[in-house]
Amino acid sequence: MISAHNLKKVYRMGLVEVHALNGVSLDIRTGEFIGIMGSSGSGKSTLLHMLGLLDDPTEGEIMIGGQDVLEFSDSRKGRFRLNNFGFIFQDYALVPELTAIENVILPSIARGTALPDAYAAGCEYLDHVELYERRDHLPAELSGGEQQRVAIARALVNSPDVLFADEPCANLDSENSRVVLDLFRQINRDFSQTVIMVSHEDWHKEYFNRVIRLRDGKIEREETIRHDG
Amino acid sequence: MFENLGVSVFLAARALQRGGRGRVLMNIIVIAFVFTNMIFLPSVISGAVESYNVQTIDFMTSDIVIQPREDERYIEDADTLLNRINRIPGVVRASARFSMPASVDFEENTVSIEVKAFDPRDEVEVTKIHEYMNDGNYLGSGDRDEILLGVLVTGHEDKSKDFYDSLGGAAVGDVVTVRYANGVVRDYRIKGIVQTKSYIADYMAFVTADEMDGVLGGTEPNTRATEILVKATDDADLDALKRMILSFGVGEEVKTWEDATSDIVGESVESFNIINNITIIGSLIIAIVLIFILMTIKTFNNRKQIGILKAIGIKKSVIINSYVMQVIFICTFGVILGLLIIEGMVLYFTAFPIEFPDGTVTPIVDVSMLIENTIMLYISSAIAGFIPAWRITNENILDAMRGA
Repeated sequence: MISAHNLKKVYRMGLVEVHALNGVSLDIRTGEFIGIMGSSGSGKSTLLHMLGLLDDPTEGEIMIGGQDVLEFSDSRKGRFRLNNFGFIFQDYALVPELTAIENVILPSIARGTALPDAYAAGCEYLDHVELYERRDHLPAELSGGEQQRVAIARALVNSPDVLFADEPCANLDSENSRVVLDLFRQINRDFSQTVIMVSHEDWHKEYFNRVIRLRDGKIEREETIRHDG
Repeated sequence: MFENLGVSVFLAARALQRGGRGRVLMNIIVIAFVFTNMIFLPSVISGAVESYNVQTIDFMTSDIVIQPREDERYIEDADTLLNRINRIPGVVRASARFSMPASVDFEENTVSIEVKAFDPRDEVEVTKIHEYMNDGNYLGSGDRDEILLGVLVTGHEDKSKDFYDSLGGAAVGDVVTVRYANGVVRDYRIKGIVQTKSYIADYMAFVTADEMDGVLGGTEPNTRATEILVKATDDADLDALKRMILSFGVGEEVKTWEDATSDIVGESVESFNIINNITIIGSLIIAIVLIFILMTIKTFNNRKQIGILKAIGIKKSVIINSYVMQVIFICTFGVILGLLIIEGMVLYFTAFPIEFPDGTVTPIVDVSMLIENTIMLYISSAIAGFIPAWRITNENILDAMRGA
């Protein structure tokens, strides 16, 4: 589904070149729950941003569904993200002026879905994350865990091919983290949803099918996780 | 560019609704005052020009003025001409005036002006000077040894209060000495003092045509005139009436009041227009700078949010349009509030006109100027809202999301 080859990303900080990614190649299949792990500065978020078309690599190739997505213009990349990807960020990244349901339906109406249909789908997803009753609350009126669940509903509303999660539990306590991760696992299992998640918490491994561990911008090792039952 | 307008409207509406109503209200009030500033001064100037025009008709030229041919000093055989003009359809009345330079002395004060002579019966039909008597009475037919003076001629005892040389506070009943340019010297009792608030009309002196006949001497009455004022019916088309007067064989210079004053008024209007334009440009710059600053601050504070929207795939144009729409909304309500303020001010100054040295002025709001300025304000505001939003949306997504 996603095939990345020799991805490199070099940031220039003054006179110093920082190699955030230094030749990463990987393949991700549909329905996988991938964990990208590694210590701080290992390049895991950079890799997620490249695969999610939020940033361009300095060098390398990314093929998604057989398309060379790095050849896309900025506006086509934007359309591609809207139609094919869902994003969940560390700090929830909700629009503060929109209620929970409005945040959820935003990508849907941006795709041209009629408002009543978008609203119905939004409610369904909020119900799925057990926040239907709080659909008319603004982000400021929700707890961190609730906000992240709204962000998950928003990421899912367009039935994306890939769900990208950039340290979604970083600001959550372990109880809320587990709620979020359980939700990811459920989505992954129930809908064969491809999930690519960045994490630095070792205990999150129990949720992943496969872990790609980065170190100094390179893949240190890959682990396939077997789950009983 | 205008795809997904519904999404832009949705985002703009929520931002206005929940993004700080106090801030939105303050912006609306500021735009309202900018708009008021753009409209009010030009409306006062329009009112001043209109006031000047009315004074010109009422006290100086009437609707049409006939002047001597080029290179001629007088209109000859004015009586015959008057009779001919008075028969023209659309003419209410014509009045011949004869002017002669003179100096007017009172006590140790001297004023050099033109003394105008007319037949009061004709003059009351063509000008409104008789309605503006500050003191005393208007001239009557056959009055001799009496003079009508403008209030700026009689002046004040305290000369520092006078615009021009004056007679130092001469009053009705006082006797002034008039030395005409032809050498004749007459003493006149001041019969009345005129106060029209037109600085031209109020610096005139009038005697009857009969009195002027005596000044000019000779055995026959004077049949010359220096100008003939023509009053038209209310519904008359002055240009058409002018052409008709010419077609009746009048060979003198026939001018509508606008023709007669075009040079003087034209220059004044041009000067006023320069002031208007400076005011409008100034107001627009204030509006642009203000909206630009407000939107720059807003978009800068919303950088992260803009980054998020771009990350989830919302088009740049949708984001930019949402900010431009917020500006348009603020502008619309600013203009509506501004119109209410202007309407209130116009109503107030209609009830209590502004006192200018040259008369009272009621602001006149010109609809075309209103529309023009509204469009300019909208365009300026939209540009001022567009640029900051465009700049932020062109930022790298991750930089914007970091808010760095």
